[in-house]
Amino acid sequence: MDDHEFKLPRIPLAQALAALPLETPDRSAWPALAARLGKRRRVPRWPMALAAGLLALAFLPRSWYFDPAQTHPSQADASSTAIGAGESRAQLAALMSESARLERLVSVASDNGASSGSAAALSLALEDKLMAVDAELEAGPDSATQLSLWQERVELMRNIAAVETSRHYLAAEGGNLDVALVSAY
Amino acid sequence: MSSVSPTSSFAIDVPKALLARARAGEPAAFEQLYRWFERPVFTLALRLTGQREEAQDILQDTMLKLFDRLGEFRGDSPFWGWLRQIAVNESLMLLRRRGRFLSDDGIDESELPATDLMLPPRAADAAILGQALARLPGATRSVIWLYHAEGYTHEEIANATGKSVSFSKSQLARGTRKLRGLLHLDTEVMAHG
Repeated sequence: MDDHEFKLPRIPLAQALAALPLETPDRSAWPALAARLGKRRRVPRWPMALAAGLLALAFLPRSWYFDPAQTHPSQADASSTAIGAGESRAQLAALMSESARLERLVSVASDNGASSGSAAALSLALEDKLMAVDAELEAGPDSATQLSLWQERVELMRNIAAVETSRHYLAAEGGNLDVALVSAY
Repeated sequence: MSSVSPTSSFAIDVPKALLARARAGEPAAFEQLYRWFERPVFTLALRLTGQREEAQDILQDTMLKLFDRLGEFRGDSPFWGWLRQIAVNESLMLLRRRGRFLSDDGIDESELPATDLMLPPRAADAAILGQALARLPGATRSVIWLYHAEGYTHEEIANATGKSVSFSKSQLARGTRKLRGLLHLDTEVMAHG
């Protein structure tokens, strides 16, 4: 170290470390992450403990699965009721939270590979509806429409959860959802 | 995590609307979060592990955990601090798995005061400082980075590492001394480079 360097102001280690430039990864991790996220959404997976808790949902009427608006009249009516902006925001937040909870439920489970033709078709039909709702939400609708779409999204997620959970539980018990659906009607 | 380092590269304010979209499972929102935090997560992982490939793995694992656990984020602290803690945990876990975060029970209290280091401008050069950091043992480098660059307290480091506060203080003191020596040697090398 030469003499003139002693005269220059010194830099605290913490400041010098914080000033180090950010490093860039050699390759983006996003493509692999996006693929895994996509797979998780397309193939809902459920732990058996959750499946057991929701067994009864397999025996709800067929209309419950296909017409979410009929499932919870109180919620369906909410969008047609005049509500204040604050209440609307609170409802929206609650719906988003519920939607997130259900999404999380899907993402943490593991796939046991159980499936059947009609059960898979039922899941796909519901997921197609979900994608359509998401597309409408991404378009940035007005607040009233947004509320209605989020209600629909939550109902669809509940339905998907019910179908998938029941399917896996019944598979573990040696049955399948096809038989359960037929028996219920 | 209570500590907030205004100089941390993680300190990015994330709009609540973006978090809400990500919670709802919107892929574009996840991608936005990834883009914003890709380099801070990778840099933190690289500083703690010292290996680019390991940092790459930690980046992916951290982001996967983020996506899985986003619903658990309560919003009572900055989102970036929450994400940073995931990245720290993943990095330390990898160091432990690979035996590079060895327990150090022989704490010499006489070493503890040596935690402050004032660098001459030449030693603060990014390349020289980066090289010196890379030559420190994993546990020592992790403690130095968390304490100085991320603003963690010794208590927080103890919690994150599963060690004692004394361990954190000891590693910081020893690491600072080693760093001083390494920087002197590297300065000599660079002066002739």
